[in-house]
Amino acid sequence: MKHLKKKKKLLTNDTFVIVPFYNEGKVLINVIKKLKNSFKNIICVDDGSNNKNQIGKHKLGVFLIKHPINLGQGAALQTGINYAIKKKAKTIVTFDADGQHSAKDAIEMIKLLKKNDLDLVQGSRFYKKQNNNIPFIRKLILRVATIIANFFDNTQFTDTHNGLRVFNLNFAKKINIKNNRMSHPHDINKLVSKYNFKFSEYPTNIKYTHYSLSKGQKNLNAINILFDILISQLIKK
Amino acid sequence: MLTNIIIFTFYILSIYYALNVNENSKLRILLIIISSFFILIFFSLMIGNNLIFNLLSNLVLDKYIFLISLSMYFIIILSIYIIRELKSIREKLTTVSRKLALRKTSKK
Repeated sequence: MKHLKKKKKLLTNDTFVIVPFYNEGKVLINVIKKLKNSFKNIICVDDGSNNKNQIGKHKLGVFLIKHPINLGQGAALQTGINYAIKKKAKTIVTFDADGQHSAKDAIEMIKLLKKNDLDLVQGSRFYKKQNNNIPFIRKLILRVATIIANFFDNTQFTDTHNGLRVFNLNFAKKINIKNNRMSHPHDINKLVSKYNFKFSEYPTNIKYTHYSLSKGQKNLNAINILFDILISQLIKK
Repeated sequence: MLTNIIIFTFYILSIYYALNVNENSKLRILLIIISSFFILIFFSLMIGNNLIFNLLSNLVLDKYIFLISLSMYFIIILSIYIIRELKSIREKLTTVSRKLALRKTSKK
């Protein structure tokens, strides 16, 4: 009974989960179905996919936003955030569509955010030294990227490029993602030091499957991310 | 040597201005003046006017260092403006696409 009550609390109208996706197939449907068990409001942002998504066919009861062209994950997240604010969301969750994240983690992160009155809870693969079976090269790149991002953003995150994060409305209103591509966490994380937001990290379980590794960021993409960060640091318009 | 350092500092400062200048800022005018000055020198060198080289030798300035740094200056300034323009175009495109997408939101 207690479990059901807790679940009902999460099904409230003011929590929105944003799932940006691009050319996702069956995995996306499974991800949404799992999320639907715990969350009422799910915003799926189709970032100009070439294939026809299956969301309409399955009648999942999610908000579907479709970009006319592919703009990048950062842009898709910002669109989702804008829509969630419009819908009077009080808590927003960002969740990857490739099945890497766990809905249970998202629930725990919401609890942590509300319990400690935080502005942001960032998922982390390295917080409290977990073993996520992360491929060695990926682990190395993530570590280096985190050091660089922390240096530029004046933050102390242990994993800056984790797509699972929970934040409140105050934090959401300040988000203005200018890096449309994969370097968008830089635009989100820097707000913590800029506005002195209260934040915490939460150890997340990332499922590395063949699908998620092929769909997710390529290791070489780290160079693009680094370039984007440097450009955004150098050219502040 | 001292002149080289002064010229180099001059380049760095103008690039710094280019990076930090805001639209409608007075610094933008300064940047235009500096760039125009360099453009004039550049064209003078292109035409083959020895006046500039004579001036450089009088200033004890290595003309090759001067020419290389001048070219680099133009490449950097040009890159900054191209990146800025592309960034601005991308932002406009994103805003328009987002507006269109939000208008067509549906519950499925």
